[in-house]
Amino acid sequence: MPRLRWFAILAVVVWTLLPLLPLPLWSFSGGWRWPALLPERWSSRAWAFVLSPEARALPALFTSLALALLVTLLALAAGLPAALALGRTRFRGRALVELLIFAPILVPPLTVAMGVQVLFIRLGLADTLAGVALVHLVFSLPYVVLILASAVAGLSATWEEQARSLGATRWRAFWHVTLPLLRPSLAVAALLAFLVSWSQYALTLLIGGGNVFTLPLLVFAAARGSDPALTAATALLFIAPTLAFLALASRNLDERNGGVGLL
Amino acid sequence: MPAHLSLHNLTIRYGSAAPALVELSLEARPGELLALLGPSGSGKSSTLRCVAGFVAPEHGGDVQLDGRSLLALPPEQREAALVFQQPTLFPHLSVAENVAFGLQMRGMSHSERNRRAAELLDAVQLGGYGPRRPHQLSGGQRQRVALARALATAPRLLLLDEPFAALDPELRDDMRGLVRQLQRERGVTTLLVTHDQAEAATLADRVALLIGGRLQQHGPPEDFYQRPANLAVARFFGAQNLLPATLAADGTALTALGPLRLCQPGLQPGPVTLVLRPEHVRLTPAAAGQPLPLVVGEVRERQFLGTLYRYSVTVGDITLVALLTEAPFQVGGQVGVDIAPERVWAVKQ
Repeated sequence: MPRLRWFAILAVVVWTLLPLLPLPLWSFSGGWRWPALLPERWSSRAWAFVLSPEARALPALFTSLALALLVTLLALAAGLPAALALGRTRFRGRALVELLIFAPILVPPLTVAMGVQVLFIRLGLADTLAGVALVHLVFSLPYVVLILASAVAGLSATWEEQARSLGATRWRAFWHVTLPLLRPSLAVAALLAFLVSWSQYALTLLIGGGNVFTLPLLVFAAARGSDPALTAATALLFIAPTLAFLALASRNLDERNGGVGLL
Repeated sequence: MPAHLSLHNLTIRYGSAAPALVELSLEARPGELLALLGPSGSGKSSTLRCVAGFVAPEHGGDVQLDGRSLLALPPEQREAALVFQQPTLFPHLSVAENVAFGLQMRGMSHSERNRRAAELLDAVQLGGYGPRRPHQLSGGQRQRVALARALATAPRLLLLDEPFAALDPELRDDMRGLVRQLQRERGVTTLLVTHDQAEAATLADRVALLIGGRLQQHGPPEDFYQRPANLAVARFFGAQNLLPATLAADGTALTALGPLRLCQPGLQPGPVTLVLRPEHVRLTPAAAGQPLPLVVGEVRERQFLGTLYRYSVTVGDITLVALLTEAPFQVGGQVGVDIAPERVWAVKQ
């Protein structure tokens, strides 16, 4: 059994990391031609350029981070109340509300984005950070609501009743009991909202019009050029924050933080 | 000063279905442990939830504590602490923080809260467990923490909703003893919801039996065994010997076993069912020379129950169960069946 387990872990690591392995090698290569297994010459040229002001990489990183964090925050703020309503109550038109929330991920995103663009131009939101954040929100909200609504539905009403019988008001029962119980699901939802925003290319380009310059735009621009070292360095810059955010979120997934006791 | 709880005319209905509770009027005296007993769907949990403030009664019903209506108060202001079947300890808080939760909600200072929590944990024999997390405790320990948490705020009412049902049998007895001891010590008026008649009988000062949303009988536990109000009550309390009879005007019950002259006051002539407790059915040797018993039957079955023997005896097409301390009769043998009329209780059919 332990041997099988180690094999499984090894398989996952290879599967995930092997495609990424050439990236650091490329980013430090000064020349790497087929059929050499390793770069023939090493160089920090690509990194020097990426970190220089003319590459616009650091401002793009900052824009992407700010945008993704803003979208995550908004998605949780809007998604939690929706999830509470959908997870707890039966009301008329519930199915319609669900359909409307999930519609953006059921319909191809570009179709939606075309309509949104026309609307945003009229509203003066096109080419602005707020506009891009809103359109990212539209596509991250369904995931957040889906995750949180099922978590809320799985949470017995007994928890809040217990808190209230001990003297907690409705609001304090929610704050001191329900919210901590939802913490693992909030972490997953936040992670997904962050990733949806972080990896947007087409929507950012369409609504931002090039004014809102994020990392994916930079990666695509580099990939269109013919410098693999530069592309690799930009791509690594793109991956790093994602891994950090994943590590942060997974710390909240510990079962001791919730899901213990009552089902 | 222990609180006096009175329920007036409570009717509870969920949606358009048949009411869960019908016109219940009942009181729990100060410091008393009142058991709300009944099978599932009897309305006992609805009653508890109504007192706790999670369900409103229909118009005309009232819940009063020391003569003041609770209906306008939200649950958090009723000072009625709940303990559920599952311990519902908040998993993100330590054991001590769980116990102190109600005190925190009342704005008590941190040091005072810790002191009270430690005191309560001592009372439930979990002193020193404060820094642990709920998931590090056993099921029985969690339920004791839940009890400590409910008592920490010195509530005016303690509401127990099947708190022993999820525990192993030996833990259950310990927990029952602890509840009874703490409830007496602190003099807190308590409602205990249970489906277990033996639990209600051993723990409660008084019992209220609900069946189908209606109060069938209330009073001290002994009454339910010795003087059941009707056939449903007798059945719920496990009465095994139910004998159809016709009651004559002079108080004589005509049964398949012969006439019995009952001593029960206030009986109306007509068809009745006689309830005979198995421990009150006397079996005597059917041999000659003995004083004549009422009837003679045949021993069908003998079971050893640990301390008592359980005999099944048939008389004609009637089967009677008797509990004896000794086992002098053999299966298949003849035996005299003697029923003391003063031990017989008649209920209307």
